[in-house]
Amino acid sequence: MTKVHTLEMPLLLLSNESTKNFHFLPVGTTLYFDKSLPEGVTRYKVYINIDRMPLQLHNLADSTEIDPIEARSLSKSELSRVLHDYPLSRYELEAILRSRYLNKNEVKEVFDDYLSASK
Amino acid sequence: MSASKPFETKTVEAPKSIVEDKLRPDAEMQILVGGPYISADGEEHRYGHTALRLKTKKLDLTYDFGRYGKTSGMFGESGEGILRVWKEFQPYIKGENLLRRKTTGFIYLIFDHQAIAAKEHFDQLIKSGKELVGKRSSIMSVYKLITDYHALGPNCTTISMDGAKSAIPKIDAGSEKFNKPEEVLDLKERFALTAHGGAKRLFLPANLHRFLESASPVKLLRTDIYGQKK
Repeated sequence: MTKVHTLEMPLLLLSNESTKNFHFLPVGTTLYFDKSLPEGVTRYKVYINIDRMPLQLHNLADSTEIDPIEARSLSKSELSRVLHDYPLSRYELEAILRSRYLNKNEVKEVFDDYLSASK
Repeated sequence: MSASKPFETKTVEAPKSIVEDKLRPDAEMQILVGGPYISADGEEHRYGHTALRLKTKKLDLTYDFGRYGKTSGMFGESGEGILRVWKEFQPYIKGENLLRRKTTGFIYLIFDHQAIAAKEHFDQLIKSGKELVGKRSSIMSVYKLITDYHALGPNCTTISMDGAKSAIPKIDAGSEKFNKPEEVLDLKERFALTAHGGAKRLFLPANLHRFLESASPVKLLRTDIYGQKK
């Protein structure tokens, strides 16, 4: 039986390359459970339809190779930056704040910083 | 001003004697051994995870090596060797605790120069690798080392213990007797071990745990337990 999770809050996407901008896996994305590793990492598949845009393909030299990107919840400092620079919806912001990945003190610090910078 | 004592400096008042400063170690090295956990799909991971924490008055770094990048192999047993360097301990251990995994911190009292020796060991690994700047955050830097990962070594345990040995060279003396994969790995994993030619060196976190709690030749300061296994 395939096991899935539907995202209830946006997750930050990370690759090896540097970027100034934030990229998110949006709320509502279905993650299909693939595999978990002893380190504590869980790997999911995401199916993406790309409409009427044929892409050039090449053969994978090692058919067992998997090159994942990374997704995680926002840290306190990232949430501070997102509040200033990224158009999150109220629903998305509420979902991030409701998650267990930031404690109340961290959320308070983020909003204190945001409010003092907005004055 | 009170009368001066023999050998006391008359220029700068030292809060502690020089002898006391040099003879009292006040840095800590923690070998963090994470136990089994049950993943979201119900699979029990008995393999565990090892990391190394260095704590002095000036730094608190946790070195965490694993398959945090590209993987390959029939069971995903090999891949890029990714070293994550946590600049704060709490986010690292919070993540381990979220897995409901019990982590044991085997804590050794060391001198600053021993902590620096271990840090320099990792600095050398980092220098010959490459920083993955896209994965950097305020609490962590991430590096792809030139050494690839393999579940049977080099892995989280061997890389952590190499660092630990830079601080305390004899810390793993006798550990090879505790290299007992059959106590931890399932049949499929043992088959992969045999196909790989076996492992002469202790590489499993659970075997390391048994060694450190019962036979390490180096005196422990204490053990700290993080997280509650359920």
